[in-house]
Amino acid sequence: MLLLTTPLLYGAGTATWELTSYQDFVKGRFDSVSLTRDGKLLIAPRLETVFSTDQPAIWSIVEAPDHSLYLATGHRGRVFRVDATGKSFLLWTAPEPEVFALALDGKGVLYAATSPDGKVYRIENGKAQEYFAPKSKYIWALAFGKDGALYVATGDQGKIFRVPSAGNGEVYYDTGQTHITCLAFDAQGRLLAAANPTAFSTA
Amino acid sequence: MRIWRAPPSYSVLDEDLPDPPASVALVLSKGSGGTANPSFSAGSKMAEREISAGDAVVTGSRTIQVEIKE
Repeated sequence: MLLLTTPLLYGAGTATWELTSYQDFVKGRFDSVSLTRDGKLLIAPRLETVFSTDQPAIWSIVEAPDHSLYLATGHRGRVFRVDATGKSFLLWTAPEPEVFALALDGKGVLYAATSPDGKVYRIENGKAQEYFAPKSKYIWALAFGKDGALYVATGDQGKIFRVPSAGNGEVYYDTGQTHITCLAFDAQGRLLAAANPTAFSTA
Repeated sequence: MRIWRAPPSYSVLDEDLPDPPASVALVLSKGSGGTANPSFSAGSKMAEREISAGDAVVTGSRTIQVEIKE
């Protein structure tokens, strides 16, 4: 009889789970913490505002030998310079709304690539001259090789151009991808190209 | 039957930025001060499959929109 009138009681269960991988942690919200690609959580570097462009996007930054910074921004095609003391000014405004890429040649002269349907401009003493027009929708990246030529990564045809001098460019490598978004040279002087939609390729 | 994907296209100061890489699209889609307005342009074919119509004769075409939620 006692058994029939006693309500059933359930204890709270204990659930355990482990979060160990990049895929686990990347779903979280990060506050002063960095997540490495192999799933390690680290204390994030301290952030300090150097300069506010008041532009919607900063697409590219390069550092000159004198430690000044050049910033490429969108969507008004503006390039800024911040000198080593933190003093900043508007260096140049492109005809196109986006400046996705910057590069410095061996003499410290700045090159800026604009989009869409943009060009590469050589900017010296605040004045810009057209350097190369790849006739591509996008120019995503610029890099100078040890041969002194400028390499230009483009979309939406996924071509890399080699430009040894002003106005003289030719297709260096047709990747078959849609976009080539980054360029870099390794220690052996090989050109590395990051592609989209396929993750990575070398040329 | 063909399945087409409508790649996102963005308009910035009356300039079209069609089908950018995902990382760029992410920045452009955040509004960016109201100057980047997402729009959609003609899509790219993802798949095509033949469906037998049996003895029937089918003419014309019909387009439907399918929303895929990830």
